[in-house]
Amino acid sequence: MLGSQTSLRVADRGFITHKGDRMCCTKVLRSLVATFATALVLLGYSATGVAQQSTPESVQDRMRDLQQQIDQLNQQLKQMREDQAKTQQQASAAVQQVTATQKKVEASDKTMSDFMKGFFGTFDMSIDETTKGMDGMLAYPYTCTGAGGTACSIAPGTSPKMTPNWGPSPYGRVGWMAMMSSNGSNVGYRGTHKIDGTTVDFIYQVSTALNLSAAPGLQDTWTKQSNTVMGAVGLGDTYIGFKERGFGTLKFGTMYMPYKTSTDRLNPFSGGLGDYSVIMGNTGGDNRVEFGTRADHVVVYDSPNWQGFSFDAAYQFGQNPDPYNNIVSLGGTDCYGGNLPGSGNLPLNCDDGGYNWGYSVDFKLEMGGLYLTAAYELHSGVNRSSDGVGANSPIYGALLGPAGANGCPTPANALSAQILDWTDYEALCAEFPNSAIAGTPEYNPAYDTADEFAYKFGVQYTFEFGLTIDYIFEELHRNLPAVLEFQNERQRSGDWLAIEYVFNSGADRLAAGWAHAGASVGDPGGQHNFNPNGIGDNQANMYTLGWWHKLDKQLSWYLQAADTANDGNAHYDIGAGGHGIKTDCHDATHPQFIDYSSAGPTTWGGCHELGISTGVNFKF
Amino acid sequence: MAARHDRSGSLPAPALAVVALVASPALRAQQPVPAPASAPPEVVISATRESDAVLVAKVEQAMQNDPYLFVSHISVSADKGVVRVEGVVQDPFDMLQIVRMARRIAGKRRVINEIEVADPGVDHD
Repeated sequence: MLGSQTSLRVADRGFITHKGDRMCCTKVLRSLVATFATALVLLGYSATGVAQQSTPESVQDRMRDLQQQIDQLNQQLKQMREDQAKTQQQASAAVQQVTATQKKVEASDKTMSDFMKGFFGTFDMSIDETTKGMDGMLAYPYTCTGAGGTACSIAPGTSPKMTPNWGPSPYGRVGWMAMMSSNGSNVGYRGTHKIDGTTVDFIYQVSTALNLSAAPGLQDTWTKQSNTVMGAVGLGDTYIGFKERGFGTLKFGTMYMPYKTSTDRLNPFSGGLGDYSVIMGNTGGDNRVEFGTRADHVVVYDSPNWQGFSFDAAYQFGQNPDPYNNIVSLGGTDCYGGNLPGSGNLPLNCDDGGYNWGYSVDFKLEMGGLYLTAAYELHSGVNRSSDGVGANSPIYGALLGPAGANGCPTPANALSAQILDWTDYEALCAEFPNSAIAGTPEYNPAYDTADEFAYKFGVQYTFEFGLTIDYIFEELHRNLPAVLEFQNERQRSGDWLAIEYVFNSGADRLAAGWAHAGASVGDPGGQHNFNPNGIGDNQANMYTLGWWHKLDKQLSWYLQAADTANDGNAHYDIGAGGHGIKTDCHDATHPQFIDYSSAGPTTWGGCHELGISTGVNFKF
Repeated sequence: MAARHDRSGSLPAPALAVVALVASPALRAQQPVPAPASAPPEVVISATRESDAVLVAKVEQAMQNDPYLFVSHISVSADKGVVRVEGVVQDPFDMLQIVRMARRIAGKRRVINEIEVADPGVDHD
């Protein structure tokens, strides 16, 4: 009975699935069986004596019971051995399954790691204190003569835009102002896909610009107008393409073109108040960088690098149905050149720099610490009809003769009759005389639609001890007929010189930069205080300083300052080219009524912007 | 060959470029050119390969050890002693520092810089 109870307990324990316990129980059971058999033998001997006192039937019954118990134990032992083998098989299968799962997890981890590595971006936020430097300026303080020696029709100290509220001087808060600015913040993802059986990779990138300090939306303020949406995919270099090491890279999408990218490395103030784009590649001043704006519908080819030499080429599809490129290209959101229709001085058209196709090419050579580059870019048929017509400058007043039957002006002279679109203007005047009288005729588009191109040479030398010197010379050109050269502000030279020094084991760097805009051949005179006697008085200099301190690999703090000194008719800003908030020569004038001349802010030539900016930058 | 030329003649230039880019390496990869029978046996100098690997490891280690250099999107390779750094940075300064460091580790060997500077700037009036 004892043996039976013991065997039952062991049998019960035999259901425990843990391999160690099972083996332990088997051993115990074997020991018990052996002990029990030994006891039976001893019992047999002792039973002989007992048998002499017992009946044969009772002994036989006893032995039969014992034999049954032995058989039962053997059966249980056999069952347990079978269970053990089965359990071992299951355990082995489980181990294999765990190993396979571990491999899957490792593969999944690697896939996830590779996937996450494709994300990149920047978070940058600063506090700025800047001033427009235009206090005390006076609208049209000059006595002047206009084109052809005709007297200006606007008296000194007055302006068609003036109202009792706005007065003859800059309107609004144009002095020092504290601001929060999100600068070049973005998130992107890039990756590659190897094409089987080839040495070619399919490549892709999506990217978007973020505004970290305000809700996302259209970039549409009283000075900055665009249909593009902050935070939307595509507001950043976005493309697909193919890459092969021996052939190079071919990309299709919306991207910066080689003219810009060739000298990005020469711009230590990228995204700051003193970004060199304040002047370089920036025709006419203000905030837009004509030869540094991301291009839609563009194909870019990047060559391989041969012993330090490489080149890049890009072609931008025009896809503009209008012969004067005065509407948005098919498939686009803004006019080419960066603005939405109507953002210039004339309504609802792409006459503030819209163009058709373009191309861009650069050549680069890097040997040791020396980097040399040359780049060229052309925009075909750039429409600049808003460049001055309708801006109420005295020159254009000189183009207007006495009022006709509708009260609208008539051509003042042969030049005016030739270059201005009187046919459309008179038709408008007949329908909306009040609006037409407030403005002027626009250019005949056949005259103010012309190719613009730029070329530049850049050199950079990087010393091993941490010093870097950069220099760029640039020429901007607009192919205008002679009759319009008097208003050509898109043609000039530019210079950029910067010096940068890194120290404290790479934790700190200091930089200083100077940019110079040469005089343009003409001036449209869109400024509110334009001096028509000072054509060519539109050079500008931008000076900038910066200190960056890295807190670790990804996080840094910076302090920058910039100063743009404009000649009397120039209106360059600080912050163009990537800084979130630009400080420019516009006052706070905003439209009181819709007129034909201009719904935009008033520009004050000769403004002297100053600014200081401190912020943090995080990269991932 | 002539037939292929005739067919592709009607394709636009960008399509041709894509086809050429994808197809030609594929052909190379699938149909390796056999070595001439008289060509001498290829000699592989294992020391060069090893030094390339060591060179890459040194550059990568130096970049990782630099407390101020962000190189998560940078890869390094070497071929016959020529070091190649490629990838993307978002600050021109980072690119200059990476190249400066690679050049320092590589010593007299050439460093090929194929790093892109991703500029997120958005510009409008």
